[in-house]
Amino acid sequence: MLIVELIKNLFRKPETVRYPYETKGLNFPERLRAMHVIDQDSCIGCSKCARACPAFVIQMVPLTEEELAKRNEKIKRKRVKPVIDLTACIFCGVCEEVCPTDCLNLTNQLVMPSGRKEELEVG
Amino acid sequence: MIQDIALFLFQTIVFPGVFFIVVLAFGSNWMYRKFYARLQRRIGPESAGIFGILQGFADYLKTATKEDIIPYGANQVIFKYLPVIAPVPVVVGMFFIPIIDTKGFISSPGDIYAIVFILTIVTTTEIILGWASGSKFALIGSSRSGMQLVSFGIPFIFSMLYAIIKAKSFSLEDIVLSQTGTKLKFLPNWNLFGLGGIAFLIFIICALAELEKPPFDTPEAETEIAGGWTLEYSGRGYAYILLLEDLKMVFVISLGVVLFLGGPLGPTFGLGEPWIAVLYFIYFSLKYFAVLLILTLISSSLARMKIRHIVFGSWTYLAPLAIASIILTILLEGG
Amino acid sequence: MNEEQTSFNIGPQHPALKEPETFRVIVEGERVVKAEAILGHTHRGIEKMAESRDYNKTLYLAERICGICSFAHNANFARAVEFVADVKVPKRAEFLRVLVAELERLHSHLLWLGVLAHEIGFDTFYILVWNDRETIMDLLETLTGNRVNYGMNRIGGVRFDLNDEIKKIMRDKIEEFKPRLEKIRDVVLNSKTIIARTNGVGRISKDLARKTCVTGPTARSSGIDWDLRRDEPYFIYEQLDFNVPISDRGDVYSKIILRVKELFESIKIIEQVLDLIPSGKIFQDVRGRFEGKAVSRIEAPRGENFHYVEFRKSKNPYRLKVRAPTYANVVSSVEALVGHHIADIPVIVAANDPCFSCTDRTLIIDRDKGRYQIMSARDLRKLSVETTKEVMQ
Repeated sequence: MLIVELIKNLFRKPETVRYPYETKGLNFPERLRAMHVIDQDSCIGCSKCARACPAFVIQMVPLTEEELAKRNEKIKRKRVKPVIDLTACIFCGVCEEVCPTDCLNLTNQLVMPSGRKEELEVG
Repeated sequence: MIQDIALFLFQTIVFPGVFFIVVLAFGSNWMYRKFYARLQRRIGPESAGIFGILQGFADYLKTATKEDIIPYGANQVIFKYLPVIAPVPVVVGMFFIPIIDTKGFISSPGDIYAIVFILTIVTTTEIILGWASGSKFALIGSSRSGMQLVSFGIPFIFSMLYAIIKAKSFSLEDIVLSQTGTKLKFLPNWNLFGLGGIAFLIFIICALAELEKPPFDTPEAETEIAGGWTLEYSGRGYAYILLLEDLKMVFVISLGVVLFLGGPLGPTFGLGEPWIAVLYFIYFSLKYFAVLLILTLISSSLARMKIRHIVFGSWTYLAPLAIASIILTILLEGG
Repeated sequence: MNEEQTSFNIGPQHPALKEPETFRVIVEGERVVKAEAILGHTHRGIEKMAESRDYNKTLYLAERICGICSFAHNANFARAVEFVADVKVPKRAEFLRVLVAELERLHSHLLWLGVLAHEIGFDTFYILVWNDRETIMDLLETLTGNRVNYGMNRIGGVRFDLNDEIKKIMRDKIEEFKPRLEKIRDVVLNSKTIIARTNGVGRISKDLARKTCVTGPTARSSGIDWDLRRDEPYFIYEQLDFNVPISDRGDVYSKIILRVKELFESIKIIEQVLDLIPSGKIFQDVRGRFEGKAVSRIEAPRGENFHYVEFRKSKNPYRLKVRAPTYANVVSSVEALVGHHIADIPVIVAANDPCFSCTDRTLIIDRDKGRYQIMSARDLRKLSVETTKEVMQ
């Protein structure tokens, strides 16, 4: 009977999780695709990710003088770097798949609300 | 003299008066929603005040500060002013209910007449409110409200008749006093136990219909007619309608407590004059919340009914059952 | 329309409809005498967009045709392209596709059941069903990394593999889910109010079902014994043992029972897939330009899902044509509305599990004169050109 079930529910813990104040009981699997992390030191600027992106949100931005000076020996030919606009990203993970140096990764870091657009750019 | 006037003012405005009734209304709103949510394994209101206890008041304030929009086809005068006076009859009705005494703030030999009149007038107000907003959905809601009044009016009155027959009086004071003492040495002598159980069941069903709570929320049916008679109201007008609904809940549940659960009665432990009022108040609140919980449990475990089923069911099962229970009462317990 | 009749619009914005679409109904008192559906509020031009991006990107576009049956669209497009490219998909990939498809059917049917409960005003059941649905959503998230748009497919296979750990989680959760499903079944079978609200409501006869070309559970509840999974097996469905529930009553209650039965069948399929899944590769690399056209049909949770793709020595599809199951089913629900009460409208409309996507018109209502006019895409273009000219001057 439903009514018995309902009365039992009164004495059970509510299923609601008070996110974001508590995260206990939430499922954050390893494969969860959320915020990107780009390791610019090992990125070679091949722009494969930008070409593969189905939502066209990865832009290859030219490096500034400062960055050009700072880049290390291995990636001497790097002229551009990827910048991801998270506001339009669909989190499909294709960029991660095509990256030849594994420098672009999707973490399971879900919390990314922000009031400023600049904070939602990864790169 | 001055003391009398001060007491009178205190009684009308603060204690059994308007302030207390409105607080109770917001409290019941919170209680209903919290309990409804917990039955569904949700948390329910929790941000406004401790455990969200101010949620009803917060909703009222928020709605009242919104823009008033008067639709093109509405009857301007009624649309603007009727919501303001709509809660008044219910507040007046609450004055009849004995809470801290066996006697209400207003008491007369014909209490029940006034109460039935107020209940009818509230539903009629709703019908006019819906009609005045000039929307098709609101009109359908109004007509459904009217149909519910027609089909539940008779069983509702008949269920009250049980208490009247037992007390042989139309006054609420006599009805409360008729429930003193014990039955079978351990049960309190409330109308609820015994044949009155049937009347109480009918009362609860009709109360749900009067309050327009599920399964009888057809006049408001959100998914069918988008809010029914309340659809076009916004801003202050809607705030008053929210208040009206909460006050209605307080009134009907209190009525149930007085008629079937012995009102404020309970063990007094031989206490004297000032303390007995406190005890009465505690007993009344406990019974009040018990009835509220029963209502919530029923309304959460059923789906909304169709107006056709409601009219049919009411006239083929509920009304005959109510009449039969009255006849049985007269035959068995003496009228 | 005579004196006693009045007409009103349910939608585009109405609490009963979760997506914007309009149902114009003419009522006599509370009885519906005529009904008509006006679609096209959610036209997004997805077919056109597909022509300007390559097949790998279109895959993710196809996924976003529908939020609930995203995998059906995604897999269907992948399958059509695989036909054109003439690749053989590895066996393990096909098993994984069936696994996700059935999980999706579970969550879609549970969602539908909750929505229907909400439409009949049974909010408690709605919340409880959706709570149980979270188990399935968690499983999908564990396997694919997302709750709705899974991104599971690629052309020539799947992207995410099933390992022992996830397999164990799946078995445990499915085992835990079964008693909950039985509870749902008991409520559906025993609740007097659900029966009162849905039994005999919105009956679609077999003739009407044939005439309006309905698909999926709607067709099966009207007595048309047709399920692509069994009658035209795709992926590896022919290796699996399952029943296709069928009913000939055609009303909303039979649709509820039918879908609850399908939930049990889906669980059976998932368990078989977990037992039988072979090891091996999960995808076959596909590159280059193709030429040719192909049609793919698969059984989405709501019915038959149809994708037509054409390539002309290109990476971008020359043409993509999608027919979502709701497009076939909505006509029957409009027919079924006639003769019922206003209270039944949301129930009947929701009974087909509607999910509105395509058409290209907009509606102008002249309120003073009381007439309305449908504007085609061409009219709209003309209007926009005129307005632009005015602004430019």
